[in-house]
Amino acid sequence: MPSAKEAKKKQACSCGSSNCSSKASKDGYEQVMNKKMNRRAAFSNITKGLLVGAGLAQSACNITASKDEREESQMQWEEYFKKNYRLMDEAEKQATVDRLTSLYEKRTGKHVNIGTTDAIDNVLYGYAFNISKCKGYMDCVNACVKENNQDRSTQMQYIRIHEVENGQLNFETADDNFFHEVPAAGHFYMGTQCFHCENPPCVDVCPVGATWQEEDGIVVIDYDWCIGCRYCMAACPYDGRRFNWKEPEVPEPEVNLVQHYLGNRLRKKGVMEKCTFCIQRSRKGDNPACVEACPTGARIFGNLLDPNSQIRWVLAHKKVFRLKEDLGTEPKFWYFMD
Amino acid sequence: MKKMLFVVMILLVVFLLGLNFAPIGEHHEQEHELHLLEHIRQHTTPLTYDLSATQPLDTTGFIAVHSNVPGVANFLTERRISTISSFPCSNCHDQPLAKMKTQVAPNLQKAHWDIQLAHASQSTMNCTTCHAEDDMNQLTTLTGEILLLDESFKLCGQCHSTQLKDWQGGAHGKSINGWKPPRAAKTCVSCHNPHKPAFPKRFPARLNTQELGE
Amino acid sequence: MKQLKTFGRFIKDGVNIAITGNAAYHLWMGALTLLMLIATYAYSIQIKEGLIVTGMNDRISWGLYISNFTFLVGVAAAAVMLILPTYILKDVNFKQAVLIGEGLAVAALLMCLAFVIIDLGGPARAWHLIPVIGYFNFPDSMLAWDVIVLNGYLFLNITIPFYILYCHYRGIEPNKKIYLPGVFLSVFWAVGIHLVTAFLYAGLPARPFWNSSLLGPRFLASAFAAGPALIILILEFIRKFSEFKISDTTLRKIAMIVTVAAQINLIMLFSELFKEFYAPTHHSQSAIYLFFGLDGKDSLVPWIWSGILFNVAATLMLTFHFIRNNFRYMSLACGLLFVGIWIEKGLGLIVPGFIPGPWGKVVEYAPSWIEIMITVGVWAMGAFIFTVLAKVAIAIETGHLRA
Repeated sequence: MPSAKEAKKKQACSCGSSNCSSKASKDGYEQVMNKKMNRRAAFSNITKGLLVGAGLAQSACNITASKDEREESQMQWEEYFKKNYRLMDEAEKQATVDRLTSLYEKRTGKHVNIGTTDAIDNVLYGYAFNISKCKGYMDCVNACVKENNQDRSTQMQYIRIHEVENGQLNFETADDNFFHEVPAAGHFYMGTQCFHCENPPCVDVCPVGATWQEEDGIVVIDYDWCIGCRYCMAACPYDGRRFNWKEPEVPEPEVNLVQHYLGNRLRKKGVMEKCTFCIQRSRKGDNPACVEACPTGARIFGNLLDPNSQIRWVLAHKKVFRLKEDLGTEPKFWYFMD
Repeated sequence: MKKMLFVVMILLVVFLLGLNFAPIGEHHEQEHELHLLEHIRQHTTPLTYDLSATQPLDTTGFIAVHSNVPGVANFLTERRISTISSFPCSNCHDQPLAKMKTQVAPNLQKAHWDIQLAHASQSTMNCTTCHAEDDMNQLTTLTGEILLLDESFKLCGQCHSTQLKDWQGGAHGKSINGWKPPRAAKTCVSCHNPHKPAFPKRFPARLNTQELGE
Repeated sequence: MKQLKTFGRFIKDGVNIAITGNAAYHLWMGALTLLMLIATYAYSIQIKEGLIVTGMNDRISWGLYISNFTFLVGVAAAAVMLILPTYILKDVNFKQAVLIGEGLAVAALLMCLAFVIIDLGGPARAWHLIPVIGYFNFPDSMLAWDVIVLNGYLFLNITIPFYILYCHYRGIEPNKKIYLPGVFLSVFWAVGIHLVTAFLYAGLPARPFWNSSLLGPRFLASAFAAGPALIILILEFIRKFSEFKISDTTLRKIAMIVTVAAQINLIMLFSELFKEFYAPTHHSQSAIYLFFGLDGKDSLVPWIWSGILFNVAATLMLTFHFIRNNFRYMSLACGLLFVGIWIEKGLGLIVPGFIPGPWGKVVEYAPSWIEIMITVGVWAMGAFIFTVLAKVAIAIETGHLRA
């Protein structure tokens, strides 16, 4: 409304600063890019810009840091931005394995072998557990912890052995942390772990798709993709999943250096992990560590699609059952008795 | 008028959509997703695997088991003879058993003096139930047929026929070569001491002290 | 260009309003800031050490953070109980309250997002959620749905009130054609956000305590009781300490909404109690733990019973007209109801879902100091944001703040 005043103001401004209401021809671009200023102001602006730029450049590539440290930062930078494993092509998988191997070597001087073996064709892994034979020795638990580089400080265990009272299949009254002579009278023993369901509820609920079922039936986790929301843990009816509430500690001499990207490679805090049917072993034709370690032969593993396999024989000739069958998860872990 | 038309349109849309999706009237052929067991049972041809990266099994220490269980393929089990350091026994023990029996103590039980037989009762088993009386290098069946020490599983299977069947199928015992073919399993005596087969009680391998705090 | 200038002035004026006030105001904001700083320090410890510093473990993997998240989604959804009458039913009495309600929704939603991020084991990797550059597991994962609906609702609740306030700031009438579709959408969206959050839990057969078809409706009922109850308390405070005029009728009508919602909530509670305790099965163990204790472990029992007590007392008080129409008793009832529902829907819902564990283990949960400090800090952040938004909105609506 006070247009006369405004007009006077416009004429008074000579520097085209944005305090004046602009005419149609002088828009924001004009005002910033074609700003008229005296030499001193220009000089000071340019110097400021250079300093900021140099600071940025320096923080990005620290001149005083050693070549090693810079390489390490570069690798960690690339690791941070890598894709979900399922979406990586062969080159990207190899690149991340190389980075992880280098980083480990830099840290410990040891060479680790991180495999990326794909599923073998025509294989669907199945597992059977003989309740008559398990005596509660827990040799399987020890073997699993060692094989899979689990955190020792929180005594993480994928496998739980439950000492169940005779007369009922009631886990509520069962004890899964016993320490007395076994087998205890009046009890039997059942082991649980991730059952690698054919219809896994954990896979459906992961918001970032960090867990999925591979072609050979193993439900795996991409540890570097997991954001740690723990929804999968809430969704699992079988207590199959474990979370790293703190940075996992594995004593260096005990680290298993034969690893798989989706299996027993070293994890970090804030990510989920679980039994992978020892993917680093089973994809080479070996049995998982728990199967190997059990002294009584209570654990049986094999290819469900091979009619000659032990697991198929057990399913066909033994009275098998699965836990919580009514939930429709179709676990690939059966129980039977002699 | 307009409002009625609007209502009629809504009803029509809902009705038609409902008819399309609801499983009534004409039976829509849906793709039947196979349940896990149905899917597994469809696979009836034995498989071969490309596991070229793995080390093949050195079969020299193994003997083939010709399974008499229907549906079970032949598999390998460990030889026993090759693991006994001083076989054949008769290299040293050249006296016939009859002569050895007449010897008086302490010569009577010189060899194997420490073996206690704690396997079924005295009326069921004694040394000669399994060991061939006239040939210390061999075993014998209940009816007197000779068995090699390598075939001891056939002997065990006379009384433990259920376990033998389970072992051949794969529900009993320990596998040696992982899950990949050729299938190799431990033989009976690799785990069970035939003279004292009972397993003693022991303590579990670990206690999770962290979990106790939960 | 002029637009940008006006907008710049709007921001500047808004900031001015936020930083000016009397001594009590500064004390309030200062206290909130202090709580936020303490929370930041506590969170830095959590980032460094990992979530082990909380009371959560493999058995109880969600605790105080997700409890508060669940409750606050409901509070945010409750804004719809003001939006619906104002814009759709064109009830004049609600017009004054709706902007405050939307401001509360924004603050509550930001608190929800804060709680979720704080609860993550790897918050730096949250970019994995972004579609295309990450991997967004939509439509399978209910959490993915939740990310969409919460952010969408936040967007609606920021843009629509902003548009209206900005128009009022410039002294022009907001164009119904612009904001009405958004308002219409936000009514359905509000119901959507809370149903989706309920489905997060109800969709897990592994947790029978949550796996009920009543959970979604129960969430809605408790949200529409607790949210407007808080709005009533806030409006009472506002009309006492500012020039903003809120009529008794407005408060009475909102109180009616709270009453009906609270009554439905109680009926649903009764239905759940019947199902759990008439013929208890193995699946009722969680409810038994919550209400009576299990295996000698009963730390949540006094918690839930006080929650139920508050709810029942508040609902009864609100049911009787002569009590509800007495504003002092009504405020007390609203306060009781808000706290009662926070107890019941927060820790009283999340923790028992995990007890007993899948193999029957009963492990108790108690939040650690770090968890408590962070939680209090996030509530302080919400209060801070809401105070700023409300102060600016009130200044504009009372005509004090114009371009």
